[in-house]
Amino acid sequence: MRTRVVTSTLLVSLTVVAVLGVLVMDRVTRDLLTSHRERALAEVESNLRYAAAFLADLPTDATPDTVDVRLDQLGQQLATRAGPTGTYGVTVLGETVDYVSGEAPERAQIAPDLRGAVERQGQMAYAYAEFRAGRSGLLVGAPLYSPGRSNELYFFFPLDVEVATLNVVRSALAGGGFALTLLVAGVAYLVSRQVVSPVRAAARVADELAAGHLDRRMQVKGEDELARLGEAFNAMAVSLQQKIDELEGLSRLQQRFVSDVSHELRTPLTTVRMAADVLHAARQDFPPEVARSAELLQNELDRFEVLLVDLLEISRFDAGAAVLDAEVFDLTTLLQQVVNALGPLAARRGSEVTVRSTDKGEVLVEADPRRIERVLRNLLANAIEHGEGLPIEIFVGSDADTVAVVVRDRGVGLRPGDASRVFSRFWRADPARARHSGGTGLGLSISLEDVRLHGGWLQAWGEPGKGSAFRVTLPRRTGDEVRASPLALEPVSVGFNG
Amino acid sequence: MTSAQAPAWQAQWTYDPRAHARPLLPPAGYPVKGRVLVVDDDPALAEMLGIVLRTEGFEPSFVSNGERALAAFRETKPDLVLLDIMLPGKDGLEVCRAIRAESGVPIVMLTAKSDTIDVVLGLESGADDYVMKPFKPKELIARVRARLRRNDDVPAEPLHIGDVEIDVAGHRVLREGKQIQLTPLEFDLLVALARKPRQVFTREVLLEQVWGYRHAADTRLVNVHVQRLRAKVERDPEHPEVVLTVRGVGYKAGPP
Repeated sequence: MRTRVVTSTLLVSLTVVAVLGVLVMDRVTRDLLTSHRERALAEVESNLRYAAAFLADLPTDATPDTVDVRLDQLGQQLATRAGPTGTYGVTVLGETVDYVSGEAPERAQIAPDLRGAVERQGQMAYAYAEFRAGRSGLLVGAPLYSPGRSNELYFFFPLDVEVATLNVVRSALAGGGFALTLLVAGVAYLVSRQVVSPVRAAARVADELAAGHLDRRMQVKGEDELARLGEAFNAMAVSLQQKIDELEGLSRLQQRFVSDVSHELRTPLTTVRMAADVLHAARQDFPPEVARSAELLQNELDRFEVLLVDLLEISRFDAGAAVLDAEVFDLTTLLQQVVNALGPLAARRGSEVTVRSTDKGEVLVEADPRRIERVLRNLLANAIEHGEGLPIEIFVGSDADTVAVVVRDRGVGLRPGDASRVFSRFWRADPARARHSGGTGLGLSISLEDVRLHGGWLQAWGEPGKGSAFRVTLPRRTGDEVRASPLALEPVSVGFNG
Repeated sequence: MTSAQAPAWQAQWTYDPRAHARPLLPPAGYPVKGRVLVVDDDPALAEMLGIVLRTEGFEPSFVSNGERALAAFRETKPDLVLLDIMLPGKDGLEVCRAIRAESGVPIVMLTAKSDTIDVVLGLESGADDYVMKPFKPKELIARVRARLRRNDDVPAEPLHIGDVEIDVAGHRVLREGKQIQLTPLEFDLLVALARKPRQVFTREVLLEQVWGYRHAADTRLVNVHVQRLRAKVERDPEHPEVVLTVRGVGYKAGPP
């Protein structure tokens, strides 16, 4: 911005100075020439009177030679009158001989126009001309009558002094204009600095605020518009900081609340749980209704516990208190553990679980293994529950930057639009359908949060009757973003594309 | 987002029910009994814990206050301590550190907080294992048994890792004739690694062999205790020579 201001100021002032310079030069030149011409004409007139007097005593019948001799004498006299420095040169054109002094032109050098005016029209005339050595000057011609004939008299007034003066004026104008332009540019620079610096300071402070240094403020000096800008900016920063502090306070409160609820609920729940277990273990000794009650108590406590754990996990995400405990591990080993853990359940439902990997060996990834294990367990449990006892496939794929796992079942599938709704809390595909594994309805929501915490993707695909697929894509290194997944979410139909 | 071409699958396997046929730990039927000090401020839970422990043949004693925990520990000389992290008076972590400062007795924490930081803090304070509330009685008893069981039936050959000598029979670890004080758990961890010098142990295998977990559990247990073990047996814990990390896999013993 500063460069732009200085450049445009420089251009404008250069133009103004150039135009002014041309105008001033023109004016000065004209004035100088006018006064020079007036002086010259006055001198010519006085010289003409002198010449008329000088030739007055010539007899009317004087021979051309006599006249020429007298004209020659006149020329010498006129040259003498010009003084030792020679303010002018004289040319006298006689019948047979010409007289030429100083810088004055020869007969042949005098422009025909000028001669015509003097000779034929018999009047005084002048013209600017340049002769030897490039000296320019004013050539004034006048007719000179001698008995019986007309002669021509020319005076050459050099413009040396005027040219020198004009040169001085020109260089003075150029130098002055240049200095003026620089000065204007300097002023523009200073002014723009005064305006731009606060704006830059504001930008810097805004950057720092954005980077999380909420206590940064602008320095406010004076009472001008810039000071007002600074004040408004600082007021904005203060209110921003207050809002964020408030939110952080709420978040801390929420976190502590979650932690307290967790502790307060878990301790009595532990006692109840143990008591229920003791009762459950001794149920053979009870009458049938009491024994069944002990069983129900036991089972519902399981559900209650899972629900409590899931709720606390969700509220931890909501409070922004979830932390990533990342390490490098082998995804296939983890997947193997998950499959082994859920294998018995799959076997009971009749689903065969097959794992395919694009990599022969390990698939190393930097992530939180506890969270990823939970995600994979959720997806597989989900596939088993909705898989209708049909085969379940798990695909593992990787490229340089990402790893992906697709869990595919061939069960009931998803209705159109459900692919995004499955991640909603407590969402059920079909409220009338009974649950087998007693999921809480929070599993996929938690999985989505877990994957998001890694900067990864969790997506669903499904078609009624064709089953569904869930794809997890994770960056190989924590902190990276996922841009593309190495595996396709939708199943590749056989024969498609050859 | 559809890639039309099917990827080239390099590896494939199917869930095999036999994968679960692993030996159960601790050895079934092996009688493990002992005195257990329960440090918990919740009277109902303490009483319930007492019932369960007595049913399993342990002798429980109780203290409900952190301040009195250390005195009770000195008085009862328990074989194991069950310690609730959240206690009135003195913080459970402080009690843990105080007990650990004078004894290698197994400490199992009871925690209601699953947050990473709380579990790690507890383990770093010297706890050997933890049980998350709410837990099932069987789970608790399994953890207690695992910590009280001693592998006395194995041949007591002397083992070496570098210049560290392990006297398995005498439960001692020596470097250049000087004894290094280890807790029983740290000792078990070191022995497990030293018995198979060239084998790389995953955290899961160590959890099974040393802690007695049958299913995948919290691998942070291993991480924290390896750090504690290194702090005691390594000359420079930053450049370990006794317990080596195998990146992405787990740990192994240094050369004998």
